[in-house]
Order: sequence, then C-alpha cells, then structure tokens
Amino acid sequence: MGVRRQRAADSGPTCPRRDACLREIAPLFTDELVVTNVARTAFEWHMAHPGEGNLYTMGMGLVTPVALGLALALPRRRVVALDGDGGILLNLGVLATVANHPAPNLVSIIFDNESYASTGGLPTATAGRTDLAAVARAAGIESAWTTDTLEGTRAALAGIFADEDRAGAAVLVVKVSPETPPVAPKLMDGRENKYRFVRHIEATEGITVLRPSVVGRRE
Amino acid sequence: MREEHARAVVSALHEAGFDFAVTLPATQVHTLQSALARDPAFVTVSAANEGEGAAICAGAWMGGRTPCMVIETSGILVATYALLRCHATFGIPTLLLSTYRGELGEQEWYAVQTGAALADLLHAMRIPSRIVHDPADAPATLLEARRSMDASLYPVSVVLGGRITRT
Repeated sequence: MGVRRQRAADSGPTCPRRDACLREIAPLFTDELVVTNVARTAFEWHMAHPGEGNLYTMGMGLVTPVALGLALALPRRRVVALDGDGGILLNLGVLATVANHPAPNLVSIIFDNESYASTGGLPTATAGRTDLAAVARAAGIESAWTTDTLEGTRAALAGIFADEDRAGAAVLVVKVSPETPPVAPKLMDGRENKYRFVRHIEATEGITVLRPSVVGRRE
Repeated sequence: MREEHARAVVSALHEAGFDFAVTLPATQVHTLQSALARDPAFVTVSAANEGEGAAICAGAWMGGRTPCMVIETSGILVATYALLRCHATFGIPTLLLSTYRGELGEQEWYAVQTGAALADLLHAMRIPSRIVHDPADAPATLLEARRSMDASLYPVSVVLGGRITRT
C-alpha cells in the first residue's frame, strides 16, 4: 500500500504535494481534534477540511506536544497532529515522551518536505541521513511508518484509524514535495480559534473548560 | 523538600482543583514530584524539556484538565518560547510551580544566575508570580493561582522558596 518501514526515498518532484495529501485524507476524518503546524499546513488543512475541531498554526516544535496533552486529557477522543519535519526536529524529545505515555488515540502525521520550506527552503536533517520514522521507532513508538504516495498516505491513515488494538500513539511520516499552492486567505487569529476549538470540545465531550473564576470564592 | 511538605503541597494542589502535572528533574522538589506520581488524582507526565512540558499542559487544559508544571528554576528559561508562542498567543493558562534556585542562601555556584534572572523573566512575560516561603501559605497561594488562571487564561507562577525546598 505504498507504506514501508525502511528509509524513504528523498522528497522531490515525484512525491505528492502536502495539500494533495491533506485533500486525500480529509474524507477519513469524522470527529477528530486536529492541531496543525504553522504556515501553509494550517491554510491547506483549512481548505481541505474546515471545522471547529481544528486548532491552527501552533508553533514549531509544539504541535505534537499540544496534541499529546489533548489526547491524555481526552483518552476516548482521537487527536491528530499535522506536524512537519522542521517542527519535530526542533524537539525530537517529544517522540520519547509520546512513546512512554501511552496514548493510542494520538496520531502524529509528519509532513516531511526535507526543508524549512516556508522560510526560504534551507534543508532539514531529513534531507541528509535522518529518518524520522526510524527515530520514532527507536524512541519506542511501535507504530511508525513512512509513505511517499497519495494512495499510501490514505491507506496508512485508514489502517491507523481502524486499529483499535494499538497500545500507543502512531506516527506517520509522509514524504512530500516542497512545492506549495498559492497562499490561501488568512484564517482567524489564535485566540478566536482557541475559543471556538474549546467550545467545540465542551459541546462534543460534555465537559466544561472555560470556567468562571469561582474556586474558593465565599459569596 | 521534606515529605510532609510535599504531601501538603499535593493536597493543596488537589484542593485547588489541579489534576494534571508535568514534571521535569528538579533536585529540591523530587519528593513533591514523586508524591504527585503516586497520587491517582493526577495524570502525571514526565517530559523531555520544559517547553514541551508547557505545550503538553496547554493541550491538557483545552481537554478539560487543570494543569501544573513542577520544575526547576532553570526550566522557566527553557519554557519561554512555548509560554509565549502557545499560552500567551492563544490565551491558555498553566501553573508554573518552580523552585527558586539562586535566591538568598543558594549554595551552588551554577544555580545563581538562573535564579537572578527569574523575577525579571517572569515580569517580561507578564506572568504574575508569588514566592512562598512558609509551607503554611501554600494552600491559599495555590488557590489564588487557580483563580487567576481561570480569570486571565494566562500562565501563573508560584515559586517555592529555599526555606521550603532546601530542608
């Protein structure tokens, strides 16, 4: 199905664009909570699958950690991180944290274009010798895969979503072309996005997140 | 930190509604961290660095938990990027419960400079903070920290002074 555990081929013109991958996997999503990376990943996901369950434009290195916190707080809700090679490389330690705090409801999809594409295209370590799925497996994440085709991406994610026996989180590295589509319209700012995201969680989980400051108040 | 003080702080955290704790190595509060890890009322996460830990706390808060991070003074320095890029940018609260290495009485040369920068660093991030020197003050301070978190949707800091943590 185009999925392999070995070192993937280099990203390049033969790899699909990230926006095409996002459109390919969007039909698989139902009520997942999604945390996206900065820059075009946010815009592209918003175009592919707009919704109140999306938290856009989390900072580099923070996407998968925020998603892990959500997954641990809501163990019955599937949480998906749309991360990037640059973001994961900023904090590789999170892969060890994910491995050691079982969250089978967490899926981290790492779009690996082997470059800091949105800031000029400097190569990342994955353009060299580094294999992120192998790093994830070495960190202790058993379900860590690499794909470099549209079909493989969809099949791998469908398999991850269908696997109800997985003991921990899954990591899917998707090799993509650095090529991106024209920039989409600007989204809401982070605070509006946060409020809408949290209100969506409250409504769908039946919990209260935004509370009045009443703890210990006497009157 | 003495075991009885650690238990008192855990009890105060529980009383103030905290139920999620990220911990990173901190010599002076390891008894507190161990007590949290043993307490089934808390989900505890051992993170790889304090920036990651802060981000985990942010996610946990959005999922309905009331998070705190129990860390060394220097951990506040490590966490600055996450605190500003995530918590301050989106409006997400978390309690930073830290030691106060470098304050008056510090005996290790390598801990002096991080402590010297702590107050100004928290001020620059506009994070309200209080230093607790007496264990008896911990319950009221943690309750106030929780109130401020709910009202401000912003991180708050409670610093455990050396008279608590060094004994």
